[in-house]
Parts: sequence; C-alpha cells; structure tokens
Amino acid sequence: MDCSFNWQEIYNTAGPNMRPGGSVLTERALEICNLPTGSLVADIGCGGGGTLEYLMQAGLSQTIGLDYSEALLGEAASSMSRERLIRGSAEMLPFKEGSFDALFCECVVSILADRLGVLCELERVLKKGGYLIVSDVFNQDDSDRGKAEIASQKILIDGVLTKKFLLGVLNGLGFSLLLWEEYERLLREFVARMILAGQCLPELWRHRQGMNGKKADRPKISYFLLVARKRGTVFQSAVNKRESKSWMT
Amino acid sequence: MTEIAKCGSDKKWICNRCGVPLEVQKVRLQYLRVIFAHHLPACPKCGMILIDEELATGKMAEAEQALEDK
Repeated sequence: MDCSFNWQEIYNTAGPNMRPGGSVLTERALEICNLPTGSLVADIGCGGGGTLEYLMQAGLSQTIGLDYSEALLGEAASSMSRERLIRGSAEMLPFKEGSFDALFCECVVSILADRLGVLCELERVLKKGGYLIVSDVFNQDDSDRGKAEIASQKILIDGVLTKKFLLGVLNGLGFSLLLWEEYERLLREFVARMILAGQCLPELWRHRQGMNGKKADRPKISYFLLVARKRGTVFQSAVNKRESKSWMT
Repeated sequence: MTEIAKCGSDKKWICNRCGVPLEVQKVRLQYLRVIFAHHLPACPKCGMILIDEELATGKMAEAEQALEDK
C-alpha cells in the first residue's frame, strides 16, 4: 500500500468520502445494481465510512466496512456499529467465499501493490450473481506501449490501471460488465482541492499535476466507475436467512 | 498599492479601505466552475480577501493547472 501520504489529513480535507466525486459515483452505481433491502454489502477500503453511511441512508443496513487504517475506522465508527468495521487488507480479505451480494471498492485498487490479487479476492468473496463496484484512476492510453507494460506485468506493480487490463482481468475472473463511465473532471477537481489544501497525493495521481517528467511521457490519467456482475446464479439475498457474522472466516 | 497595505513592524495586514486588521476566515474561491473553501486573511468589514504571492504562484497556480484542459 502507498502510505507516503497522510490518510487522516486527507480525511480532514475531503471528508468521509475520500475520493473524486464523493458519493455521486456511489449513487450512480446503486442505480445500476438496484440492490434489494437486506443485501449484504461490503465496502473494501471504507476509509472514514462515507459510503457505508450513504448505503445505510439508501436503505441497505447490512453493511460491512474493511480498511487498513485504524484511525479511519475510528472515524467510520462515529456513524455505524464498530463490530461492522474490520481492520484488514484488501489483498487478503478475512471473509468466506461467496459471502456478499455486492462489493464496493472505491479508489483502492490503484494504491495497492498486488492489484491482480485484490481483484481475485473480490471475486472470491462475492456471491455468484453479485455486483462489483469499482471506481479508480486509470490510464486512458491503451496504446502498444501500454500493452507491452501489461504483458510484462509491470503495470500490476507500479504502473497505472488501464481499461483493457482491468476489463480483461474481470472477464477472466467471470464478471460481466454492466457499466463503464469516465469522470476525468471529478478527478481534476479532487486533485485541485487536495493541492490547495496542501495535501500529498499518491505518486501516480501527480501526473495530472504536470509535475513528473516531460508532458509527452506522462500517462493520460482519468477516473472511472465500473459495475460488473459475477456470472452464475442470481442471488436472492433478500430472502436468505443468515446467522450472525456468517461471512467471517 | 491599491486596497491593502502592511501595517508596521508586526507585519499584520490591514484593509486600506476600512482601516481594520485582516482576519483569517473561511472564504470561497472559484475557478473554472469549481468552488474551493479555503482559509485566507480577509477584511471583516468589506470582505476583501488577501491572496499573497506565495499562494498565487504556488498552490493556487498548481491547482489551476490541474483543472485546465492541457
């Protein structure tokens, strides 16, 4: 994980929705999923709990939040029960296979080292027919140069996600894409806010600031929202009876 | 110097129009349809905001660059 910047300070500046667009993209994703009340939903990398709070306001009370930062989990605890908040890594989720009806992973994948591993973990803990909602920064350039990086798997370690890479991996994991939308403007606004507030951003985001290298060498960074559905049986979360904490390993 | 002047050796700014010391306030800055909330010295009477050179050529210029289509 990129810990070169202060998450607590970013929380203080951006509020509980510590990412471009705030809850706007969460709302957009919910329009696509139309999750029934009673769906078990997890926010992987929940930060200060902005999405969890939004989901509860939208009538989805069965929510779990996971984050690596104890401080941010403490912030999230102000709006939901602490026992629904779990400290852990997205690269090794502490949940059973097929636990969740929907997973949110907003602005998380790009800051982790093992991106392929995270996507595999998300697939593992999602039910068949469940929804995966991911938003993050990505490189708009799917040129041959990008393909070469993907082929060498360098992009899995220190590069920037590309649409082709991400959709290719998700398809291979058994997901069907329902939505892909791009929000470059929201990324620019977020970056500008953070700069003005004096916050440090992840290194790859700084490409947008024009601070790294020659203009021609900089990746074209933008922001996406995707909704994908795990192929298989349609889930029936609303009628399922669950035992307490049945999702824990 | 037009509206604002430095005040003596303590380097506090005063509003040249109103004659009162500037106070740090939460102000709204707008650029390319985006509104930013920021704490800056402002006149408590007329609302005049002071943006010093360091901010204008530093973080503010950088934020503008991030917003512009280039």
